[in-house]
Amino acid sequence: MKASRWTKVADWVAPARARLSAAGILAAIVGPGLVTALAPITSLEGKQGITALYLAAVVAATMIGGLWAGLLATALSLLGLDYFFVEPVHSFSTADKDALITGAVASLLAVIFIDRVQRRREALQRKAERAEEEMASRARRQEALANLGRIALTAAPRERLYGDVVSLVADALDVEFSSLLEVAPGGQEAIIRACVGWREGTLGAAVSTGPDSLAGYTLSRDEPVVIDDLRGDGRFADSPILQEHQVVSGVVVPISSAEGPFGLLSAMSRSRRRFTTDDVQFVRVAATMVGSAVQRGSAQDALREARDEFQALIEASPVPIVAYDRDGIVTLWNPAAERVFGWTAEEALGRLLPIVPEHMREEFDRLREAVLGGRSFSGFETTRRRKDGSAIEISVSNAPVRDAFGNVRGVVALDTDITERRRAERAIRESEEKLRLALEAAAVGWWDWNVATGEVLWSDNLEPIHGLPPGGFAGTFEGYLEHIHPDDREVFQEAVGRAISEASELDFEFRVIWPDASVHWMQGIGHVLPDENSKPVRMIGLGRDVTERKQREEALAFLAEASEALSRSLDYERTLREVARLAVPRLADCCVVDMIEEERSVHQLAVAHVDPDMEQLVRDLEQRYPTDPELATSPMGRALRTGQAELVSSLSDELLAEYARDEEHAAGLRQLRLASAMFVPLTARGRTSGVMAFLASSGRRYTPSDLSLAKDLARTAALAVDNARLYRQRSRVARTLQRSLLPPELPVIPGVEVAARYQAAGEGLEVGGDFYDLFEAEQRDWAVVIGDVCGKGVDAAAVTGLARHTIRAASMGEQSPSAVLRKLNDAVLRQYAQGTFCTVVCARLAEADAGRRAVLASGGHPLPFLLSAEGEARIVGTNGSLLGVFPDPELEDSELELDPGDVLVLYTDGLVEHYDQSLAAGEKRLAEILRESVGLGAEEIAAKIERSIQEIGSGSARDDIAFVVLRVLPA
Amino acid sequence: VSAITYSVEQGAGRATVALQGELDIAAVAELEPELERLERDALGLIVLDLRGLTFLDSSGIRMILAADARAREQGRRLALVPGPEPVHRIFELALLDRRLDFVPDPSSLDQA
Repeated sequence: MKASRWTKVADWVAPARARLSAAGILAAIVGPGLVTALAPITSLEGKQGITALYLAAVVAATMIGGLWAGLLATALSLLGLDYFFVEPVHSFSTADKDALITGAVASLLAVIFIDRVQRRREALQRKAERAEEEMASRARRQEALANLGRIALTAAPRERLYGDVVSLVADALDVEFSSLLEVAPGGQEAIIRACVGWREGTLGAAVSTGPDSLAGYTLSRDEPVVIDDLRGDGRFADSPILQEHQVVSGVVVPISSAEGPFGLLSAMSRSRRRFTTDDVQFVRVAATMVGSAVQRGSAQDALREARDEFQALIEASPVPIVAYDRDGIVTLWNPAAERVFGWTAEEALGRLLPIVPEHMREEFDRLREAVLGGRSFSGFETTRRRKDGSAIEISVSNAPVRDAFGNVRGVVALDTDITERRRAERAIRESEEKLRLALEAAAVGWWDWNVATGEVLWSDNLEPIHGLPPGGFAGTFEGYLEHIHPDDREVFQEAVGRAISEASELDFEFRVIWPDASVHWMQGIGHVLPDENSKPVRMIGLGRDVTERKQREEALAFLAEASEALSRSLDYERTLREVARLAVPRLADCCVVDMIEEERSVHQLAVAHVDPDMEQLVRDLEQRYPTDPELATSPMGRALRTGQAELVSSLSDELLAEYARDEEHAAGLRQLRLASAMFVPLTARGRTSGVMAFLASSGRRYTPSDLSLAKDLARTAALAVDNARLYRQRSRVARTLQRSLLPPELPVIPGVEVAARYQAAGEGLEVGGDFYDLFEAEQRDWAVVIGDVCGKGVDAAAVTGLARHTIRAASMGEQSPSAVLRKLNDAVLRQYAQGTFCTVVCARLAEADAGRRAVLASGGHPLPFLLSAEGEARIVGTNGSLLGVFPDPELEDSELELDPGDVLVLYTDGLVEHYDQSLAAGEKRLAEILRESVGLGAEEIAAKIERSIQEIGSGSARDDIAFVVLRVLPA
Repeated sequence: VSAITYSVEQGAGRATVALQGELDIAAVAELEPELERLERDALGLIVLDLRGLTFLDSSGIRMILAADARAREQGRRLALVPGPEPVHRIFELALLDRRLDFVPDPSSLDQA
């Protein structure tokens, strides 16, 4: 209160002091001075008149110079009055106090009064001026906002708008700084987009929008924030930018958009400033305008983009897009329309739609009316014309175009060229037709199975393929299973199930049974069609009869198997029975093999029939009516006689009657229900050794390809038979010859056990060169011989014969084995000039005191082993020369005592070489075997050695093997 | 099929035939004509090197005996380099080591 009064006093004083100007002082001095100077020369007389003049001077000074000038003039006037005009004149004595007091009071009152009046006038004047100024400021701001609005309405770039805004704000609020910030994406900071007053580098800087920052605080409050003095304001953390610029006061206003806080607009001052509501309101309005301008800008951008995209779409559309107004005048004609119809946009726009041919005009008008009525069409197929006059098939989609009030003002049309599609459709129809023809020609049918419902559609030609009459198929999957051979049904379902579950291709071969019970092979090829969820819903495929191929494959497999069986064994009787068995049912329902034996008689070797009862019937018939090569009516006989194969593809009753010997035979044959037959001779190396008959019951008709297969088989069989017979012949000869060269049976030697073995090398087809002999040379004096003739076969057999007989003959007279061998050497040399030789060990056994005394000599032959009763095995004797080479062989007798239990083993090199290629190693092995044989009898030892040969593999023996075991019996 | 390979080295009135593998009847059928061809070249010395042999049967013996007989008849020399023990054992068995011209050290022939 007191303070306010003092403020008022000061208000009074301050302008008064200010008004004590030079003019006021001059007026205060000049006025009283003039009165003092002029008063004596005027007509005025008396104190009152003078006083009035002084008063007037004071009034004038006050009016010119104000309060202080008035007081100064008053003082001067009182001094002038007192000195010049009040008694005593020319002295400042105050004798006449009254006059002075009156003058002073009147003067002071005048001064105060005039000053008060003057002050009132001045105050009123100032007020008027202030009001005027405020009006001007408002107008300026209004104008600024109007400018801003104008800028905001133009599609000016945002940067310009921002720049204008901050300039306007700074101007209008008369502040140094203004800035506009945009909240950055993410909202963590705001970027200074425009500013005035700030130092360089501020533009583009980022400002935190944290909760304790000025920006963040303002955004969160979403209303203007006024700062009177930043220095004393504790609401915000220090802002480097504000501090740097020494900002003291400011106002910050948030800019909002539809999406939320968009940015900030600020006005800042370095001096302390009190922002009025008007100021804040102004910034606020500016911010709102910016916000809405930005928002409208975005909306316009989006709209422009959409329009651009739409335009691009129309431009790029491969489909002609055409629009026309209610009168049919073209308003849109895109490049595709140019391309497809031939008219350019320039030619088409603004004219009547040119593409409608005359004869389609009526239809077009109807359509247009409907669309103008508000309806849309899609996929309407019709004909249009091109600029060159050619017709074009299109699919039209029409939609009405409306104006802002929803009235239909035109039609937009999409005209898809379907000429290609029509052509493709025709092509597909044609290719479908071709496919159908091809399928029918190849006896292939198609099927289409709906997995969910089990329904099966199939082509008509699948019916004859399954032996069904037209329409004879039930049309379901279950129904189809009925036609499948029971043995294949399960695997068929498995294969189909697998194809569906794995969405893989089906390719499966299976048997079907025709209504006439015949079995046929089918091939099913299928493809799974999934629905849009990849779930298999349909399976389509092809089916065809592959019986012929399958039979052929089986026949070939059978042929390979039969050939293998035939070449495997020499026992052709057994093999042919096996082949006949294999032929049924793959090549025939019944197979019969007849063989010509050596005596020209025919022997039924094999009969096989699918039905065991029928097989017995065939056997019986063959027994009663054996094949007779001389009988002209018998096809089997004919084949045997002529060696020619015979194919009877269809076996008629008449033909059957012709084959039959009598009524009973005919009845039997009829019972077999034969339908087709092949009779193939077994011919090899020009010799026919037999005949094979392949007989088929109904359901199978033999073709020439079957016959050629049968002939292949017969050729293989015939060769096998011939080979086997040749082999048998040769091995029989060899065996006979070999037997003649060996003792038919071993003699019994008193007190001595004897065992011998002979094994021909390989298959035993040739006479070997090994031999042994055991005979009583003299009374109770026995000779044992083992030898090996160089070479094999008949030549070797001849030398063997010579050797045996020479040794036997020589042994009768000579006592010494070496002498016997010398005689043999001479004989061979004499008989065979060169290149033939033999090796022989010859021993003689004589009774001795306890056991036997043996004398032995070797002519180039491996020396025998002696196994003592104690288990010692050693080689005995002395090496000697090969026999038949040198006229002077070196041959030496060795003597040894054989105690009871001792065993003497004579052998050929084939034995030890069989053990090991090296003689020494083979001998070692034999010694081992013998040592293990202590205590065994001669026969047991021989068996043991034989087993040791077989363990290695007797078939692999490359040479003949012979050995003789002699054992002196214990006493 | 014979399991023999051989190499012939010929020159300075002599040929050396080195045998590798098995000298059996099949090998003889292959080798004998080659030996006879060498003999026709009227060489003074034919050396049969048996060191590479792993097997020898009576056919091999017969071939060697026949070649030896022809050499003696025609005044040539057939020298044999002994094979490994199992092969040479066969010659010993028939005392052929005493009858045939075995040369344990073939280099000794060079000095002759």
